[in-house]
Amino acid sequence: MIVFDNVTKIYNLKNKESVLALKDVSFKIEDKELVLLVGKSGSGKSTVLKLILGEEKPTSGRILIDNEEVPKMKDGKLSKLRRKIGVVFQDYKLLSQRNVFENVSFVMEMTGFSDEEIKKEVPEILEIVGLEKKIYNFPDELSQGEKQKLCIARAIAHRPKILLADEPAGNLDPENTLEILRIFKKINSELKTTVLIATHYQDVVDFFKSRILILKEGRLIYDGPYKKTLILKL
Amino acid sequence: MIVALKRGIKYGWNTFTKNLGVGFINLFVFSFTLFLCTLFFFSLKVSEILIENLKQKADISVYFKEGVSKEEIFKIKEELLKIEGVEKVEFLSKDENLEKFKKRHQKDPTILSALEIVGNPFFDSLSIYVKDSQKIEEILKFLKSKKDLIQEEDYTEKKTTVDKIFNITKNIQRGLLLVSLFFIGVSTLIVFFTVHLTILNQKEELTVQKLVGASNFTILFPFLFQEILWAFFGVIISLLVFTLFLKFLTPYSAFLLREAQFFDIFKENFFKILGLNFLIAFVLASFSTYFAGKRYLKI
Repeated sequence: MIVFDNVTKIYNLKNKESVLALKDVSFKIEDKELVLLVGKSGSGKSTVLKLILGEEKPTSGRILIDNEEVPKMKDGKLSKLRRKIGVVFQDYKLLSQRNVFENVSFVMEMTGFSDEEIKKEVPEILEIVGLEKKIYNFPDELSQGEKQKLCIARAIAHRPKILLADEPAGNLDPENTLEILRIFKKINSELKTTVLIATHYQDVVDFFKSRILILKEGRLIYDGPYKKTLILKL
Repeated sequence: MIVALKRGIKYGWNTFTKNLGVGFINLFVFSFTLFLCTLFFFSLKVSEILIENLKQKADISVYFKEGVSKEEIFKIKEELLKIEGVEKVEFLSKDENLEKFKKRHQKDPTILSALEIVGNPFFDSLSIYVKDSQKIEEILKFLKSKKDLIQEEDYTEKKTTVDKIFNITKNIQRGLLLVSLFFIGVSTLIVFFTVHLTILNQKEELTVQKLVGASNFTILFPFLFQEILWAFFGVIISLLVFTLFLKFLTPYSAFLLREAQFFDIFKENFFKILGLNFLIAFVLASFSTYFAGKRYLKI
């Protein structure tokens, strides 16, 4: 379970200016839920994901994952928490020097899987995202859609409890977007993974018709079930 | 843990082979610093032996005035032997002293012919061998009480030489220590920057590692392993160069120590020197890697 309790985040810039990214945001995401975090660019979506991952600390408020406060975690504990979370980065963060298999196995190696498990499970994971035929290709040899799929494969390789995705449809054509969204749905329903997708695309929201958190200028203005009209107001 | 270590070694080896160019700078730095540290350690050992040798040579010779009877000299000998720390006392008559001197200078006809003119300039003497140099003051005090019978004693002169050499070696050691510490500092900085450069090349990978929950040890171990490899080669090179250095130095050191003694000291202390080299190299590699990687671990 992910809990945000009155979370405010202010970024202090180098020129001594400060930017309010989140203001008194509170929400709760239960296990196995699929939630969409919706808002325009700069509304604070990525900040929410970074706070969950412990990449940033809140200025005030509490963030809990499975009843443990993320900002108070020491380095070792934070590493353990991150092993429970898979992330699909907006800029992919793929390792250009490693092929598809190695990009996925790398994460499994880092999180302590044995060689046998890696050998067995990587092809299975690549099959889930439809990259089983590109196993020895390097990221530069993949299309945008394939890169996104590889990013998802890497994010779920270590069997995380929570999957965070930052604008997963950002760089994709409609056909690839649909395929990627189906994969997320499958991960949520079959692997029982909690999924939080940050997006500003209407199509993504319409596809899932799931619970929505709407952020506007750092404030949570809606937390409830899918309603098409709400998104159009943004 | 074993799996993590195996993987760390695998990644470390990859990093090592990928960054040979930068690594050679590390190798040079490691070798040079370790050479200096070995030199410092070695100088400590040499000066220890040198001082000991000199102290051993610092036995006292006492020359008696003309007319002092043998009975009186033997009485003094007996009293000297009663002093704790005196190993043995040898009597040499003035004729024996002359013979000894002639033997030592048998290849120098000028000295020998001069002796024929002046006759026997020597005195009856006692050579006092001391096993505990701390008792020398007591012996000198005793000899002072017999100053009416004694022409001269030669310890005071020897003591000045020992003190002088002691001070010189102390200063050399102090200098070497400062230079070694300076170069350890410089090396730490250079190794720090080279590791930093390697990490910078792999920043992308490091960020991903950190964000998926890899521990700091897992992330930094390959870099540490790489540095330990360079340090290992550095130790070998520094010891090889040091051996050559000793070989070169030996002919110029005969006035200090017996020829074989330099290598004996090196052989006797080889494992200590090796251990010291590895310790310094390991600490240097660990510190540099940790501080170079630290800022990238704060994700």
